[in-house]
Amino acid sequence: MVENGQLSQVRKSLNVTIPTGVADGERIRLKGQGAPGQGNAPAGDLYLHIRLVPHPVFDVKGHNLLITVPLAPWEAALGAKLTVPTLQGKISLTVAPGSQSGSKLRVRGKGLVGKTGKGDLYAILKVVMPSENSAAIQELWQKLAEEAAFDPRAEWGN
Amino acid sequence: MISSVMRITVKEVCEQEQLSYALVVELVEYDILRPVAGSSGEDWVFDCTGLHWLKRAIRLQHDLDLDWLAVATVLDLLREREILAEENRLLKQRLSRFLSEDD
Repeated sequence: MVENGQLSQVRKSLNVTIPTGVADGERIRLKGQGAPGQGNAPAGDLYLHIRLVPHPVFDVKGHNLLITVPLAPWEAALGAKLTVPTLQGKISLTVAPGSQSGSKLRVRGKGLVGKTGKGDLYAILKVVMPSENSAAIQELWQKLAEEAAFDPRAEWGN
Repeated sequence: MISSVMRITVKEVCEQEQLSYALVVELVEYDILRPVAGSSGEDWVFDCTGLHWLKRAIRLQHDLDLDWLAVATVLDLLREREILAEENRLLKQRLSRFLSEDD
C-alpha cells in the first residue's frame, strides 16, 4: 500500500491453492501478490518456499515416505505380521524370519503424490529391546546366548 | 482462493526481470537458468525455483561485479550447499529415530 508516496506495511491473509505433487524445497509463485508497481506498473509476485514440517511418524525422501518400524527381537527372529500406518490408512506388513535391524521393506504406491506418479513407502526395521525383564525372561535370554553361539563382532577378529 | 503458478515462460522472465532474450539464452548456456520444458529458446519454460536462482545470480553479478562465468560457478556452489544442507537435515531426522533420547 502506498500513502503519500511512502510504503506502509499491511497485514494480509491469503488462501492459497498448493498444487498437487509439490515437493519440499520447491518454490511457487503467487502472481500480483508482491510489492506494488510504480506508476502504472503491475504489482510484483510473491514467492512461497515450500518446506515440509517434520512428521512424528514419517520421514520424506523425494516422493517416497520412510517409516521406522520397531520390532521385538523375537519378531525379527521368528518373523511377524504387523499393522503399519500409511497416509491412506493402515496396512498389513509381513516381516520375514531372520530380518535384520535397518533392513527396508518397500510398499509400492504408498508414498507421496508426485508429478510423475506416486512414491513408495519404505518400512525400515528397528529391533528394540524390552526395557525391563523378569528373572524368568533373563534366564531365557541367557539360554539363548548359550544356544545361539553367535558372535556379531566376528569380523573384528577379537 | 489464490492459485499458485509453478511455471514461468521465457517471455515472462524477460519482462519480469527486465532481461533481453539474448541474455536469457546466454544465462541458459551458462547453466544459470535451467529450462524445465521446451525444446527451443522461445518455447522454454522455467520453474519458480529456477527463477529464484536467477534473481540470486542477478544480485551476485550486480553486487560483486562478477562476470557470468563466475556467477555460474558461485551459483553451482550455492545450489550444492542447499542440497547438502537439506540432505543433512533429513538424514539427522532419520538418524534420530534410531538413537536414544540421551543422544
